[in-house]
Amino acid sequence: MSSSVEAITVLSSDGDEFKITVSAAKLSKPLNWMLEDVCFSDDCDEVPTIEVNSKTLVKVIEYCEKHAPRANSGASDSDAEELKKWDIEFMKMDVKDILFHILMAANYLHMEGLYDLACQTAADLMKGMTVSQIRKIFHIKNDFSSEEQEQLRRQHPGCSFD
Amino acid sequence: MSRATTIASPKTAKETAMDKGGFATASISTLHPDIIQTHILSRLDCSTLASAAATCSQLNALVYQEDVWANLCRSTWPSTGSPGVHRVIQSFPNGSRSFFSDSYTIPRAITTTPGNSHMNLERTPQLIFAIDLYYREQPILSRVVETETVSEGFRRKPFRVDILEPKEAVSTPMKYTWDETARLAMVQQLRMSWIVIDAGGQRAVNLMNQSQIVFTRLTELEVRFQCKAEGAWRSGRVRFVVVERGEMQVSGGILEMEGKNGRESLVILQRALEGKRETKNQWSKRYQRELKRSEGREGWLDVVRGWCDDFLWAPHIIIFSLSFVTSMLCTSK
Repeated sequence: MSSSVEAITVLSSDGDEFKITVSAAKLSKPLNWMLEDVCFSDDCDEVPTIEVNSKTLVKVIEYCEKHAPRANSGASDSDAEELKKWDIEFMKMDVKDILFHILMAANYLHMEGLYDLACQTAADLMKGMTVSQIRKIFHIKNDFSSEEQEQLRRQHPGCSFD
Repeated sequence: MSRATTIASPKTAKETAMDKGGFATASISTLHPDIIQTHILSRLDCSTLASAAATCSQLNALVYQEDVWANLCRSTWPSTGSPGVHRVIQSFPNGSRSFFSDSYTIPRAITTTPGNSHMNLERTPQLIFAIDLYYREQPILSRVVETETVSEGFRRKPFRVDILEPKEAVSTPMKYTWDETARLAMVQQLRMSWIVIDAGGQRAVNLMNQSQIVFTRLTELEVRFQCKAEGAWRSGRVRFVVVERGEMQVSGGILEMEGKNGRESLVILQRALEGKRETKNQWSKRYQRELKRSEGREGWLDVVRGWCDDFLWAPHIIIFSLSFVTSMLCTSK
């Protein structure tokens, strides 16, 4: 077992190597199981692959490292408050490209906190937006015919299409 | 140099396969439909849902799922989550979506004179009332009361419905304060919703969607929500008691409405149920027009009332933090 090891190396789906501390890796259930199963001592050269691309994995690891101390020890309210602020800042990433990758990665790695945060961010991004704004933010292709579009207009007189 | 370990991909994550092909810009449609529906759409209010439904056919199909609206109904009015009410809602033409659009909007009663002969008073032998009380937009009290409307007892006596059982008390996060201004401010953060459901007619109406607060200044422990629309008033009175450490508990609640007896009130209720509904925008536009028309006569009163209405009818939907998200994630290995 790996009690002596403080950080492990993992590979992204692009084949890049990343270091992640053991305490941070414990935030993810599958990673945690892997820690228990696999030998991570110095003489073991096995490098596990995480099926998440590098750009996303950087952010996921950043999140884990930030949240690990609190998850492992439990923290005061002021810490929780500060962490919340950090989360908001953290989610101000270039959403259009990476938010859904983060969401999928959090789902795949069973990270409840991050998953919740990503879903909430996605919902918040949609709130109060017009139809075309939502399409733009989330790269949604309009696949309605003009008749369907007209029908939608009638169905939702209150919603703004511009 | 082995690279033996790869975390097994969960079955639902078809999206991870996409990742392997390089970094594609993710669109919402790359997410699993379950994720979109259960964890993203469930956090949206109705107008955003309508916008989302109009973006593309995939989201459209997801938005129109019963679960999305059932969830929205439950989070908007916790009282509608009770099994009995839920069953009735399911019988509505479009299920929870019909119920939501009936109840989220402001009723505009059909304008026929009371006692009009086309009204069949036996049409609604039973009515269900779903009542929710909110403090700072968080629900603090939810009750469902059923009442028959055919007995002489109901028809003869003035309309009056008790929300709580005798001697029942419901705790709230409200703390009594001796500072009158603070107390006023606190009471102003209360809001009431009173939905009348006609199970047979598969309609519902919210009688308190543009209510204002009137309360007795003497004790200030009774809050009165009043709503006057189309000449018919209805009111909900909520009584509080102060217990240890200043905690305020709801000790009683009474619903009343226009009509010298239950029969007259029933006519008013049926007219509201059968009438049209307006969105908040439509309603306030019409309200402003009528306000202008009546200016000069009772101008200042209406201005105050209009201000109160706008203030109170902020259409906030409270989406609870979904604790089942957590449990689902834990078990969906």
